[in-house]
Parts: sequence; C-alpha cells; structure tokens
Amino acid sequence: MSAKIKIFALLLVVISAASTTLFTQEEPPPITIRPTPSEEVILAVADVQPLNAARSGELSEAIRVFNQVLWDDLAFSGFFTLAGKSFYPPEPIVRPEDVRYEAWATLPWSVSFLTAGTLDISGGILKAELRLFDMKARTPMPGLRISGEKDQIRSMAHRWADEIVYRLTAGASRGVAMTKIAFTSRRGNAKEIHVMDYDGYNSRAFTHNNAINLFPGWAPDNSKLSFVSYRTGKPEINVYSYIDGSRVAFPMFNSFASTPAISPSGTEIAFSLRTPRGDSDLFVSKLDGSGRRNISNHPAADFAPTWSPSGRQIAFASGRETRPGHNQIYICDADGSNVRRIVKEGGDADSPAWSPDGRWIAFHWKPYRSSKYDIFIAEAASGQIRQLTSGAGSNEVPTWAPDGRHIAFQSNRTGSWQIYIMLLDGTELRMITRQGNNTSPAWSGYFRQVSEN
Amino acid sequence: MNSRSSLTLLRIPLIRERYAGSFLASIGIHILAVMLVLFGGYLFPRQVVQIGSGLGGGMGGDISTVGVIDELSGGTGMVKPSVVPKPPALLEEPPPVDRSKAVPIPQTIEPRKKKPAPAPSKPAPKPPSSNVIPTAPEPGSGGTGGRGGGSGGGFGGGIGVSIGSGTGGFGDHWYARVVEARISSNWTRPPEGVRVEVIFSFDIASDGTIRNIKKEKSSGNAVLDLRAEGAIRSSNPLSAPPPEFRGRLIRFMAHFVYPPNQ
Repeated sequence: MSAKIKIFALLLVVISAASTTLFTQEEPPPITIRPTPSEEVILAVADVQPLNAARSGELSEAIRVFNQVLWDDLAFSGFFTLAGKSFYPPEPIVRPEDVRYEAWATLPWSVSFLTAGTLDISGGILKAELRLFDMKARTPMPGLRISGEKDQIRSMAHRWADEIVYRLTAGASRGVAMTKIAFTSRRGNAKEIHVMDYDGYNSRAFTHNNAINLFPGWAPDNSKLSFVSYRTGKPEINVYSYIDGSRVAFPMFNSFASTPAISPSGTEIAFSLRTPRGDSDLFVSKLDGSGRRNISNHPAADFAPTWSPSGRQIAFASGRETRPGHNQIYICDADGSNVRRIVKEGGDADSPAWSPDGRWIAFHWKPYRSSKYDIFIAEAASGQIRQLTSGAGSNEVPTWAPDGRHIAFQSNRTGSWQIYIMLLDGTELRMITRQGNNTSPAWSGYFRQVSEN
Repeated sequence: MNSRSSLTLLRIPLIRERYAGSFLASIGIHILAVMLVLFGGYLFPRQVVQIGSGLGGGMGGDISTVGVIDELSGGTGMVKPSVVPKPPALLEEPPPVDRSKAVPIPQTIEPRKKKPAPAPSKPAPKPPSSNVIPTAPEPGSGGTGGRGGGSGGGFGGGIGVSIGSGTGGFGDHWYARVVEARISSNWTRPPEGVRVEVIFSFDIASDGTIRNIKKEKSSGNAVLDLRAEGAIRSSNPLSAPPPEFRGRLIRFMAHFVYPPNQ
C-alpha cells in the first residue's frame, strides 16, 4: 500500500517535472534589449574573392565591379558606418572559416557585422555566394546565392546590398540599390523619358517619339509610368506599362494636360488640365480616364499634384494667392476640400513631392530674396520647414526614394542640368547623370519584394 | 476627334517598332526574366531551399538557371522546419551536410509570377494562430514548405541558438541587436538632464510584425512613456526573424534607460 503511494507520488513528481519542462519550453524568457541613444552599426565590407585560384580577366573585372558597387550602395544607404578596408586582416575570405574573428577584433572600430563572399564564373554565368558574419557572436549568418549573366554584375551587387540593408536595419528599409529613376533627357530638340538605375548606370530610353516628353512618374508598384507628351502637338497624359512597354489607354483631352500622378492605390490618377476658363485645375480620374472630376475649381492655376501615401490627401502647387509666376504649395483632401497653404512665406514654390512616410512634403522654393531655387521639406502637419540644398546653382524637382531617407533632384550647378542623389542630410551627394541635360527625376518604388507571411 | 484617332494609329507602329527593338528586348527580357525571378525568390522565402552548406563553403549544388537566388543558411536547413528542431549546437562545427539532400535548388527557381501570385500558390500557409508557441516543432512542417520541403539539411554551425530551448541569452543574437538598433533610431530622446526608465514588452510575429505592446514599467511621465512606445510602434513592421526564430511569437522586453549608463 505504502509502496503504491510512493510510486504514485513519484509519478506525480515526474509528471509535474515533465510538465514544468514543457511549460518552460513553451514560454522561453523574453529577449531583453536596451535601446540607447547611440546605436551604431559598424559594417566591414570585405572584398568578394574568386572561388577558385585560377581567375580569368573576366572574373577579375566582375569582382572589381561587384566590390565597388557593393561599397557604394552600402555607403549611400546611410545606415552604417563602413569600416575602411585598409584595416582589414589581409587574409582573403573564401570560406566562412577563413574569418579570423580575433584578428577582426583588433580593428580600430568594434565591427558589428562583416560581409564577404565569393564570385565564380562558368559558362558565362556569374555565381556569387555571399554571407554576413555576426562579429559580436562570432558566427556566420544566413547568406544568399545570386547568379546572373556577366552584364548583370551590378544588379547582383545591388541585390546583396539591399539584402544587407534589409536585414541589418531590421526592415527599416528594403534598400534602394535596386530602385530606378525615371527622368527627362534632352537630345537635340526632343526630350525623351529615360530610366536608369538609382546610381545612374544602365540608362535606357523609355520613349522614342522624338517629341517633348515631361514629368515622368511611377505607379506605386512600378508597373506603370505616367508622363506628359507633346507628340500630338499638345501636352497629353500618357500612361505606359513599365513591364512590357505597352500603352495603357488614357483619354486625350485636346487641351493642356500636365503633371500626372498615379495614386498610391494605383487605381486613380491626378493631373492638371486647362479648363474653359483658361486656367488649369486639378482633376482626379480612374486610371483609364473615366470618372474625371475637378477637385480644385479655382480661377488660378493649380498643378503638380502629389498624393499622400494614404491616398487621402493631395499636395499641389497653385498661384491662387501670389502674384503671376509665383506659386505656393497647398494641401487638400483627395476630394479637393480643406485646402490649406503649407508655407506662409512668399516667393515661388513648385514640384511638391510627398514623402513615403507621409510626414514631409519636399518642394523647390525661391524665397523672395533669393535668385535661385533650393530644395526644402515641410512637415505636412506643422508646416515646419527645413532646407536641404544650398550652394551653387538652382536645385529643383525633388523626388523621394522609397525609403524616405534619400532624395533625387535636378541642379544646374555645373552649368548643365543634371540629376543628383543624396541623403536627406545632404551627405552622400552624387551626380548621377553627366551628358546632355537631364531633368525631372522620378524615383521608383521598391522593386524588391519582401516576404509576407 | 479625327486627329486623335489618326494620331493614335500613327503612333502604334512607331512605338511597337521601337520597343521591339530596344525596349522589349532589353528591359522586357532583362528585367522580367532576371529581376522578376530574383524578386520571386523573395516573394516566397518560405519556399526557398536553403542549402545547408553551413561552414562548408563552396557551391553545394549546381545552379543551372540564371538569376537564381537562394538563401544560404548560416547552418540551418529549411526555413520553416528549422524552428526549434534541436537543442543548439552553439558555434560548433556543423554536422556534415548531406549534399544529396541539399541539392533541390532547381525546384526553387521555376519562374514565379510577379505579384499576384502569393495567396493561391502558397502551399497552405499555417494560420497566424499557429505562430503562437507550438508545443512541438511540428515535424511535418518540413513538408509544408512545398518545393523546398525536402531540403532540411543539418542544423548547423551558423546561429546555434534555439528559441524553444528556454535557455534565454538571445539578447546577443544579431536579430535582437538589429531590432534594438532600429527601435533606438526611432526613440525620441528625453531632454538633457531628465532621467527616465521605462520598460515595454512586445512580441514579434514570424512576418516581423510587432504585436502585444505592453507597458511593464512606467517612467512616471506619460510623455516619456509615449515616446518609448512610439519608438516601438514606428518600428513596425520589422524584418522577418531569421529561421531559428520562426514559427512562434518572439517575446521582447525593451528597457529604455536614459541616460544609458544610469
């Protein structure tokens, strides 16, 4: 009897112990983090190495390009402090075990992460094996294999750069290295729409109609480009598929149509159109032009609409309160109600662009006392203004990168109109076009999709 | 009206011809064939086979299609099944990888449709509720990965931590560190001279969304509390947690302390 009780008691103990174990397995302790004011991610970018010792000139060139592009992308991202390469341990990193953590620990910086990898070529196909290393935990992290043809080496580096940005910012950005910038390029008397990589490479003409084409803009999912074309003699709205280059039907108004902007939902388009009154008003219609409605209905010129990311508001330029030739930036609800001016001071302002996070509206502005335009951002809620550009030349037509941390704009600071990109704080400024005159930049959305569970 | 239609007619061959020459060929093919596949790999990360190459280096399998991207695991096998499968083998040499199992890359690279695909083609994703603390690592879930299912190689040297083991200590994990850095970057610091300590807990789901934000300890100042909470809220969504965290909610405890050395 007592033996049975003992066994029973023992069983109870075992069961409770087991259940406790199970319970603790289900409820692991939380992960403690301590946000601090000076979190800095220091990233080392070791050169990608040839997988095999026998390297061809082709492979060497690809490796050189890859390493340069990756560094430039990561520097431009603005998220990291890049540790200078000259301090790295000299051993090339071909395999994960080649990382001598103790040697890396002697660098002048406390490197948080390291990227390294290999590149190989066979049958004309480049194959990269790329890894991140957690230098604090001294362990490799999941990597990526990327392959491509020889002329895709830049894209391969961009792809890895975006992966690094996405991972090491915990998703704050998907990385802009694979984004595109559409712009207007003047060739002779024509102005054609071109599309290039964000860093200015791989520029290609999108239109070939030998006419004036202006104001390119992307659908939020990059599936379409809208722009204004004079190919019929009068400015008309054009919408084209960016996927296959086919035209998306949109009515011609036989009037002065301009500054189209596809809505965040991708289903509507805002634009300006000359009314019988003789001024231009803002209109919103479906993407096929149906359901067109005048949302501004004001005797002064209204134009250059830009949608808030929610699609509920539109910012635009208007001459309604200023003297001729001088415009200001206004915000209204998407139905045209609730109009308010965001910058109280005078001068001439144009080209509003709503930031991807909805907080800011970028525009170019020439205050009364100034002889040139500069890029400013105004907080949509408060109207508080910050100046982003200064110095030589006129700086105009800002456009946001999808991460909301970078802008592109046009400037004539070198004597010709060219396109520049930079971080909002003015650092990492880069001139990305050089030939002819290039204006009206429009930064695409993210191309790279992120996992959605 | 007339002019409009005739102009349209005029235009079509012009555009066609041009696009057929340079645009369709280069952008269409390059971007579609290459980039869509590249992105496609990211659209379905759960289905991407991870080659369990671990520390092995070198090419584990032959990649035959251009533009393929695979996730190279830091030692883990498949994404989904690798949630908690084993107690961690911390920083040790990974078990030898069975290359024969790790090869099914070609399955991962069949061209995928760009955007509209997700819902129907996803092989029975687990309902969100299953994120919440599975009692067991669901041995069958390797199969739910569809194309990638069979590839679960070794659980290797990479990040040898297992959230399910209850051993804690994940504050040093790189994912915890990048989450910490992101929340830090969104934290509006208290004014100089103000001391604050506030603690919030929250969960991160498998897709990186932040849930169940809860104030565990107030600073005594509603504004400072709100700033800390705002730092968490404005970090949502985060990047998806790495494989070893997936399949459940990860609980975080965020200690906002200022000045930091207080």
